Amino acid sequence: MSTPAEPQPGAPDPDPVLADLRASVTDMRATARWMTAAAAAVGALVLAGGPLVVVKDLDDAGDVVTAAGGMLLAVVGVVWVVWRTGDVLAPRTATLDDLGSPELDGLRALIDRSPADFYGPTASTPAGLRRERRLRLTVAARLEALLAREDDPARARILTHEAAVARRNALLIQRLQHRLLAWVHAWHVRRSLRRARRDTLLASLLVLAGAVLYVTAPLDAKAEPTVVYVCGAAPAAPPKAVHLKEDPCVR
Amino acid sequence: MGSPPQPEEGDIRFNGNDVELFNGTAWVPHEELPDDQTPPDMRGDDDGDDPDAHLPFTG
Repeated sequence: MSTPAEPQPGAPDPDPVLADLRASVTDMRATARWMTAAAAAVGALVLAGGPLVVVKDLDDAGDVVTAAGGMLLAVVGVVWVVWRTGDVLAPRTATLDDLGSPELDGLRALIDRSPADFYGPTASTPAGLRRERRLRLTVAARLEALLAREDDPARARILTHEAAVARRNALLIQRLQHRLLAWVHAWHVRRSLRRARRDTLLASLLVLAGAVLYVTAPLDAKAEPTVVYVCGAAPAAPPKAVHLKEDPCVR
Repeated sequence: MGSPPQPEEGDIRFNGNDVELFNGTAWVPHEELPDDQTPPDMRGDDDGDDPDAHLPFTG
């Protein structure tokens, strides 16, 4: 009786779960890029369009200060959005130890609902997963070493089969570890994106307030100019812009 | 006569025709781990199907 041929070790099949997680990070970063582009467009509008709209209507220092203050508010709002969305795009490191941080409470709760789907059948913590990986790699290495020294054909067949099983086990644990790291990374990016969305909403109110301020800067009530009449020998004609009910030079 | 050396984690032995490994606490049979993990789907895609491709209404 012959044992079936063992699958030869080669490049492992690509993991669809890992690909999915990486694609979700790509999607989230694309969203952040759109937010940054929109904020930059608003910033360009504020800096370029604002002065063109109101500069000719600014009459006094108060108008200038109000308009400048409004533009500054709007620019601060734009910078705030760009800063926060930049956090989503910045590269970051992820380790299994990050699972213990308060930022990943949501991910820990998700894992706790079905730990075997994240840690596999034998581990239940990141440390357990590390330990399991070391164990499986050690077992695979020792089986290969035993196989290399084995002369008995029957035991060699058994060891060949067991070595292939050990390699598959080691690959499985390694894949679970990579997936967990990808989950940690994706959760960090997700959290950054949520924070950026919240801050974008708040910053847009700031931009709106600033825009309203500089657009309405020239609209404040101006004091009426004081007109001085110089009455000579002949009654002087009133200025064209002044409509009088009575001639001020008549006594 | 000294006692046999304590096994280390990852040690292998034959038990008849079966292979056992030492997992740090006990000798256990060396078996293939089940590859049946199904973690949640973060992306929500269903094999890349366009959700607008199959509308519930016609016309």
